[in-house]
Amino acid sequence: MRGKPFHNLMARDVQEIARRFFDFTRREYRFSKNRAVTYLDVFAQRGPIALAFEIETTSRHAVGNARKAALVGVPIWIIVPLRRLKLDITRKLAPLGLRPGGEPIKILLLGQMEQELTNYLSLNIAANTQNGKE
Amino acid sequence: MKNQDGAVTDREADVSIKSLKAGNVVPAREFFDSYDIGKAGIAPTGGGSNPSQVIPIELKLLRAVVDHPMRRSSEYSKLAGISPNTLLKIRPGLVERGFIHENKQEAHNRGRAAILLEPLESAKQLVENLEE
Repeated sequence: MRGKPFHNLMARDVQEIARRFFDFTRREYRFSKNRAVTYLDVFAQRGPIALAFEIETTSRHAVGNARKAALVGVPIWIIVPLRRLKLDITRKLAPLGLRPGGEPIKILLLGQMEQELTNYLSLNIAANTQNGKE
Repeated sequence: MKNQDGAVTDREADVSIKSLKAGNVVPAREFFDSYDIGKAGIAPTGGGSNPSQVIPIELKLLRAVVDHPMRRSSEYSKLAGISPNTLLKIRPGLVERGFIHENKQEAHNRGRAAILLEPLESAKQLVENLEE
């Protein structure tokens, strides 16, 4: 992988967690849509539900990665190692109002990811949606 | 001005202290070899990643970090066979001298951050050279 060891370690952990919820998970995934191409740290898919995970160990590339995800129209979750960094990135992204794939960008610590995925998927799977009940 | 007993004057004493303050104190390797750092509460001074400045106990830790990278710092006391207190004391010195890098990771919204130790190139080379 291209990142530093800490980044790669986090990417591996994120993929491990994502694997429990999604049928398809890949690291350093090349994703192209809307004539734009981007590389996602971790990409996960389960049926029609697709999620991109970007690991940020600094706030430097957060805005760029969020813009790229918006360009290709895939919902993005940013996974960070520190609460302080989470706050920094939240502040940087808030004024942009980006909604990649029509969803708000989530910024999470690694330990929060599993719970958030449980909530997210329970709201999105067909059985729990209005269409699924019909 | 000499005192009545013919002992050292104040000026002579001041001059002797000056040379002590200006001098660069070089820690003797033998000193660190013969003392348990954890008990004595001392740490070697910085200055480059010269193998001669790495004491045996530090080398134990470096070897453990190179062999098992990116583990929590608390795990290394077992892996290296050193006490947690000793580890706590020698870790900042190795970070300062560019042998290891500390990565902090907070898993949840509360609690202390875990410190993951990453070996840097100088540590890998040092361990490699010593094994040859």
